[in-house]
Amino acid sequence: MAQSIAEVLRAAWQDFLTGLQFYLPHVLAMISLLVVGLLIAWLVSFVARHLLRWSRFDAMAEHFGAAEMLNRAGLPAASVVVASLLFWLVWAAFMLSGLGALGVSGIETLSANFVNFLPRLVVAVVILVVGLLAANFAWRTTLLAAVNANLPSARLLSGAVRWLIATLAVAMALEQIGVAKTIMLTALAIAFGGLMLGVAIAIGIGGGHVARRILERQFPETPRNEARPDHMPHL
Amino acid sequence: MSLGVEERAVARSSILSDELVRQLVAVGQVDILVGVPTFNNAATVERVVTTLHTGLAKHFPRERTVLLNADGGSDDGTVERVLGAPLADEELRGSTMLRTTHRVSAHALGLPGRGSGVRTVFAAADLLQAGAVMIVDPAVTTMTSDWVAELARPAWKGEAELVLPIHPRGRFEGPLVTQLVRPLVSTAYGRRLRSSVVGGFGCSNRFATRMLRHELWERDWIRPAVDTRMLTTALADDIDIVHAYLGPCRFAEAGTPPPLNEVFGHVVGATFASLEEDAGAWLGRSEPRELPAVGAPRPWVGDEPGFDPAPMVERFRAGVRDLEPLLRDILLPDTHAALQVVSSRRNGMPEISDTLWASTVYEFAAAAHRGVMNREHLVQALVSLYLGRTASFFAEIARWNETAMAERLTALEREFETLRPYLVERWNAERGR
Repeated sequence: MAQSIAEVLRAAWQDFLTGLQFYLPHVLAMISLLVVGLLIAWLVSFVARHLLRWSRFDAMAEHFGAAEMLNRAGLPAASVVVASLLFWLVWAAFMLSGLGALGVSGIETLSANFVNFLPRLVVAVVILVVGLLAANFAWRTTLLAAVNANLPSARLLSGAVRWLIATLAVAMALEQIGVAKTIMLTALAIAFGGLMLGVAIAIGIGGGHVARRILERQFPETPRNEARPDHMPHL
Repeated sequence: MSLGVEERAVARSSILSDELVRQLVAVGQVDILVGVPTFNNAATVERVVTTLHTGLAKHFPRERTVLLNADGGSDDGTVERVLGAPLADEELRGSTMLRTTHRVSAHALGLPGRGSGVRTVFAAADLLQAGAVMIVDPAVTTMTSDWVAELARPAWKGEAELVLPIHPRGRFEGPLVTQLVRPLVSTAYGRRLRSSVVGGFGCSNRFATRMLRHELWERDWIRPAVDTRMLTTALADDIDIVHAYLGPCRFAEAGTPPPLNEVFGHVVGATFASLEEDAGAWLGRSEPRELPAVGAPRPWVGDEPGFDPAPMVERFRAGVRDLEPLLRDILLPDTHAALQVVSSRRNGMPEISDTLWASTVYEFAAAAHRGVMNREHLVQALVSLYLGRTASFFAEIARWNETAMAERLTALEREFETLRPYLVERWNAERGR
């Protein structure tokens, strides 16, 4: 009996030691990959941040309105955001390699799926960034045009333009990465249709006289009047 | 006529059409070239051409002269009116001309507009080695033959390279020039301008050639604001500028005028762009210099345009309120807060002081330089503030006479000069303040 127990224990410990002997190098390889990856990712991020600052990337982001959007979202400067993205991208690649080094079955498939997913993720991020920049540019253009044309509710109008474009960009980005594709498209269609219907009802029934007043003010039949700001001899 | 290497190069270039070169070569070398860039100006151009010929015959009887019409593709019979205009008005009819009168009309290559017309005239002046050049606006209805003498003579005598007209103006005319462009440009470049390019100007052949070779013609933004950029280029290059007192300058009404924000965008956009490109020339200047003037000031006569402050004030208040997120990025907190205080006073006219206005303009110019946002957007954000300042200023001078008004404008310009170090400081400030 005692011999039998000793046999089982010995076999168990032998299996454990064999497993340890097999897996320990893999674990050490994974840890080394993670540590080296962390260092490389940090280095890449550091260099990128300084290169971006040197090339006045933050100024450019401010120029195009991206800095303001980041600020509103509680995010740091554009150069820091890009550097952080690079950091996580590089370290994620090392983490996947590290997991692969473990030699656990199924990890390779997971890694391959992630690698296949990366291009779509990058495209989605690009779509989102360009879309948000376009939304901000359109917001500013609409706001200035509405204020200088003396239209009422200039901020509401420009805000609506901004959110519409931003929502479109988010929907396109989500579609790109395949998240809740059908739900997003349906939600967007319902929201957009509802908005247009609401505007049509509001103008057609509730605000017809307001629309008429706005149109009359924008396209007056009155002759040139030098007392009006637009007709004064400014030059 | 023998042409130099450079002149031939210019003639070969794309500025002058073959047809125009043929006509100019037939004219030969001239002393004075008068350019009339046109684009659908049939209503007024005939009188302008006749007045110019009269002026040439009267004031430059012994000089070789040519009138060049550079047309930008008119379809209203402008060219026919130019070619068919009488050579002299009542003033000179019957008198004998000492020289052959030359008149040339040709299509100006490039996009229709003042820019291509002015460039064509400069290229022709270069080709013909004209001693003096004069360019007039064909829409002017108040031109007299004396304009030719006043604008062309200083350049012809070698006393100046650029001659700018000073026209008597009503108190409520040209606020964009008097309140914004002139004080800013004069102060930045350190030359006390008393006018801008309105109605026409005279210049030397050297100036025409210099401008012709300037890269400004290649840029998109310059076309609608060619006069502004020409003036700032002259100031940056520190050439000799002389003012000439002329009579009133009025233009024929051509339908509905372009909206203010369009005019504002062209002129102020060109001014900010000029400051950016010429920063190396103006940043180091300090003491402002007076520019000489020839002739005597003429009295202003005519009906004053109306002035209704209410819509201007309304737009000012809407601008300060609705553009708050943009103004916060452009202006310093103190300036922004001061404008908000002025805007929030519900009773009476908003009072934007000279100091507050000069600080606002300087901070906008510096923000344009730092690229805080797209320049076009930045300029448009200034429109409503400009209307508030204009309403404030007009209300202040409404009961004043011309002399008091002139003194008030001088005081405004001196305030801009006093605050010039602030412009330089803001200009050199790091992003994010």
